[in-house]
Amino acid sequence: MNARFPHLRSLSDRSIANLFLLPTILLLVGMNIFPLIWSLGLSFCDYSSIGNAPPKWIGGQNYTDLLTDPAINQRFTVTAEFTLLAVGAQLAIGFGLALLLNRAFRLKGIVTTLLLLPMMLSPAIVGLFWRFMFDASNGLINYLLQSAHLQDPAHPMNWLGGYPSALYALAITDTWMWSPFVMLISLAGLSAVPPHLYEAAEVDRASGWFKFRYITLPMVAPLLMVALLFRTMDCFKLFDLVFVMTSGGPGAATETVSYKLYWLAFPQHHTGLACALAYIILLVIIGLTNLYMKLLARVRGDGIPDASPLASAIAEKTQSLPVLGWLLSSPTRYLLLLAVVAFWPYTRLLGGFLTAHVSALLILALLVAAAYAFSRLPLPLRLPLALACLAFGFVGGFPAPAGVRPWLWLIAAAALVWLVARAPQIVRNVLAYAVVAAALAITLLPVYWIAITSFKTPVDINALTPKFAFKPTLENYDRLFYQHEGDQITGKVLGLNAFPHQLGNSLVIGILSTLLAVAMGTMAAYALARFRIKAKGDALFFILSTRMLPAIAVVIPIYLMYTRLGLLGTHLGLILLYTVFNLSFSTYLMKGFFDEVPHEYDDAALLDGYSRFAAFRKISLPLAMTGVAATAVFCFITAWNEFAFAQILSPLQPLTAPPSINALTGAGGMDWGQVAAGSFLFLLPAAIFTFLMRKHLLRGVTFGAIKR
Amino acid sequence: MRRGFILAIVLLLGALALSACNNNNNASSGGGGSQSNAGGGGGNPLVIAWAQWQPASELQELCADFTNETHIPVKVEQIPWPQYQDKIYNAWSAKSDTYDLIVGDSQWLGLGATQGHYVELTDWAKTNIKLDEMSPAALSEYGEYPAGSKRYYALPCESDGIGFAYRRDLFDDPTEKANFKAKYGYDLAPPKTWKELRDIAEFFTRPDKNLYGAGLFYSKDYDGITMGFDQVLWCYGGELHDASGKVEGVLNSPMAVDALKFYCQDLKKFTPPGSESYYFDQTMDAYGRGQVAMAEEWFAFMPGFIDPNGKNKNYLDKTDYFVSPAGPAGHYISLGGQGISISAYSKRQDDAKKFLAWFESADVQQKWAQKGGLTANKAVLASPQFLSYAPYNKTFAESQKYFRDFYNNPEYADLLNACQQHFNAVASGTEQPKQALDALAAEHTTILQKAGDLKASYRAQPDVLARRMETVSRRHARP
Repeated sequence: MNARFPHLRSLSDRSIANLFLLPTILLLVGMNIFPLIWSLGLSFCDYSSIGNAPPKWIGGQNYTDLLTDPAINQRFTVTAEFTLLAVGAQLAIGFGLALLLNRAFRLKGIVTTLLLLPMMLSPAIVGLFWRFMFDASNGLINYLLQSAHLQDPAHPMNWLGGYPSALYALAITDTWMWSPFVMLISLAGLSAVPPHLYEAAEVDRASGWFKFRYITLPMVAPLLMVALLFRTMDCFKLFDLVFVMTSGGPGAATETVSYKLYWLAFPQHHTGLACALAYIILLVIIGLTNLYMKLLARVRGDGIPDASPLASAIAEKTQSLPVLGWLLSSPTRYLLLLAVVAFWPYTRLLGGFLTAHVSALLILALLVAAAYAFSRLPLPLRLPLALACLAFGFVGGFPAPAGVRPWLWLIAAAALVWLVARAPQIVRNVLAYAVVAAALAITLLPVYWIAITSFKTPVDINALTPKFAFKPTLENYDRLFYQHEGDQITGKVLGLNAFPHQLGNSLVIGILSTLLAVAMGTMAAYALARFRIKAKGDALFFILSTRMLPAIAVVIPIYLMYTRLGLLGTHLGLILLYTVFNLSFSTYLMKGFFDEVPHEYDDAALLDGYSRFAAFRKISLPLAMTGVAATAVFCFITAWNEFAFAQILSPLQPLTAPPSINALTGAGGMDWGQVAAGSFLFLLPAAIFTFLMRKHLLRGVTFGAIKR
Repeated sequence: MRRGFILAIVLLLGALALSACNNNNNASSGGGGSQSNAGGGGGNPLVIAWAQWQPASELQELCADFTNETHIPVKVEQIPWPQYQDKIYNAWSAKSDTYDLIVGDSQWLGLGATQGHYVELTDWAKTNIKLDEMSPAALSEYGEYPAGSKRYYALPCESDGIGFAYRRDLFDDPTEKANFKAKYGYDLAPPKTWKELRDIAEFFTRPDKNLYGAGLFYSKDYDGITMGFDQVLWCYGGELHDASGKVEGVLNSPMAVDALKFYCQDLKKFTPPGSESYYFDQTMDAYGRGQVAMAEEWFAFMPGFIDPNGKNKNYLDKTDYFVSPAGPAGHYISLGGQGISISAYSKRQDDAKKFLAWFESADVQQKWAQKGGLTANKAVLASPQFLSYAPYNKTFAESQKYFRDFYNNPEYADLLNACQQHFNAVASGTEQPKQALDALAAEHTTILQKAGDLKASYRAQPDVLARRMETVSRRHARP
């Protein structure tokens, strides 16, 4: 290398640092900062990208309109409801599963990896097949509920067509996808708890609850906060699932702010108004992030694994912002400001949300109270009473009228909780395995269902009762790949369909953007990890903040930019975008890997007469190669799975596979056979990578925030 | 420092160039769903954008003749229905020359005409097209903006409207017939009025057997529930606006509230669970799996009912069709269908005009109808052969005189969006009819006022509309 590029040898550290860092910074400025400034300008204008009139300055009119519109308020409320439901369920289920998995058993590795599968899949595809399963008439979920006699076949649950059931359906899907994420993080936390603490507690004959409350929970709490932060931000930005599952329906009941923003900006082309909404969302997200950072700082203690370099970086930086200096100087003032910024849209939340969900919360509270009451009863009474309640609740629950049923089940559940808590260790172990097995089944069922659906004929797919036994056919794959004369199976093959091309595009765009992002990210990370750079902290924070920036905030100006540059619907456009998307991620992840390679190695090489570039190439890079591979896989999966930008930025013909699978409609609407075939093929690479990368998943999904 | 910077730029550019090369290679092969159909002849094909369905495939087949005559290849780009409007609007917003001709939905005419996305055809058509061969209603609905102005931005391509398919095996069953007569006092037959349709739907609704009366349009997607409900609204004497363009007090009139109650609450009970999301595809799915006795459908989608390999395989020989029913205040059917326009951003407008002149000629229209196209050519429509081309063509021909459309002004998309949300909310039980229409009337007023369009010309002739409003309100005033 040095022989071929002799000038590289003479480069000073300073030049190398610039050479490594500048492309990253420039690209991020061009694709993030510039669009943000543009859209800030447009947010004060009356402008429609479909009209032929130039933007007209109207001052704060857009903001006034939005902030006084009850419909916008309603969208924030829906988003908050969804976030509360989904994040709550994910934390409970994810943490619960982690507790159950935190023991040695055979096949633990493979079970854990399988449980992690959902979060590596594309949300748009996941949403599609859950929509298929949620069908009120012939969906798998209602069928299973009816088979278990949990539902009256004459009154099937109308999942996506009713409210709040549509919201629950979205939350269930998101929970299926992201509980594994919380589980993964919790497992990391649990394995980091020093065993001697439990041993000491054992010596003191502390109860199980005591150990959980005073050892486990405090030790895991910071990591749970990280999970909470990531999930809340993601849920707040929810778009893909709404887009493919409900289109915001019924009515506008499940329209989230992101979906509303998309709707304003694209189908309706109210560009100025949409830019203003994007800025409002941006402010709320910044507020929420800061609130969490504050909480995180309080929860963090000593001796706990470094939960979040990202948290401290952001907290540090926001403190020194000159604009908010006065407000930030007092913690009370600061928290008050954050609360106002973060919660102003939810002014109607208390009324709406509580009335809709108060019964669920009440039932939960009663359950806890009943379990507690059991433990206070005299011992000889407890066991028989618990058994009686269990029998009465479950057996009596089915014939009972619908109104009484939940209460009977509540009693039974309380009895069950108590019984389990009192059961001998072996029984509890068996139960734990049973729950893990059930979780595994629930995790894999949708994937299995999509797989077998892809081998069914349209008539079998459309059957009133979901079919488990059927004559398999390759017809769907055939129709997906080949175009037949007269659009029939039997007709002669005319040529390839668009789908194989789109799959190929996904591959090409994924690989090229990954190469770019990883190459640039690795160089930038090396510069940041090894050199003293003026304003290094600022550079790091800048790179990081572009990742925290919600994508929806920049999509409109990027769309306009691409329109002007002719990049809409081109490979180059999406490659650039995904590179930027992944750049901060790969820089941050790679910096973590380089930090693990002692800089003394480089120093020794320099002493031996290596140039700085050679030291990078021959010493540090090979040692960080695992990191490069892991980073590459994560970048690739992000680009591979991405839906919203691909949908918006290839407006005439879907360029990549995710938006094209969503658009697989024949003459008679959604062709579920083809959707299943396409989804199944599309999911395979992600599934394979999940297995290959299982050791690095944790670091990858938390942005390098948590290392094991 | 400077050397490093320059190197960085060079590297960056190199990488971009690399990916750009790749981009060019792929762009040529990664095209649309039917590129292999593009036909013979040299050069780039003339691109016609349309939705993805049977008629578009038929048009592609028809275009082979044009290519033979002129050596201009034609490619019909089929866009999936859910994205049809978004894609065309995006092409306009990007001023893209991807599409030379656009087969655009009737409601887009205002935007296309006023914002300069469509080429005005008025003068050219006078000399090159025999406009008098076309049904005047179709010509006006699909091509004229504003209504009555004699200015044309499109020519009829696929006429369409709503019709119904029904199960003969159920309707002809003697036991069912007897039971129906006993319960309702008249014979079981394809319904002539919405009241009868309701009775029949009620009669066949048997949740324990997973059978329901009808599959109707209630979906929030695109224009689903609005198309389904508008015709009921008009049949019950409601209107979207009055002759002066006023919405308040018209769209939320008592007649309209009754109509909405009827369609979204009363009739809704006799549709399958989950029907809030039903549009043309789901009604056909439900029909094909034997879940409904009647299915609402656009005529242009009806080839799905007779496709031997399609979802309706089990009921191929048991299916018949009827005209969308009448109401107490008249007989109206929601108009669908598309006109064909020339994109103002096309670089090949002369070729496009050549194609238009060819396509609209009488003998091509005859072939078009033979392939399954729903023509607007008067002579073809009146010909006995037309009725034999498809089993539902007779019903289509009968339905045509009742067709009526939604707004087609530039603000139509916003007006439609508001309708979709509120109607769908009523159908799913999250809003009440009266509140929904009050809110909707307010929203429509705001949208129209903002656009300064409250008094602009509308589709219906003002004097006709005024007379109609008068009679309807007089009738309604009576107890």
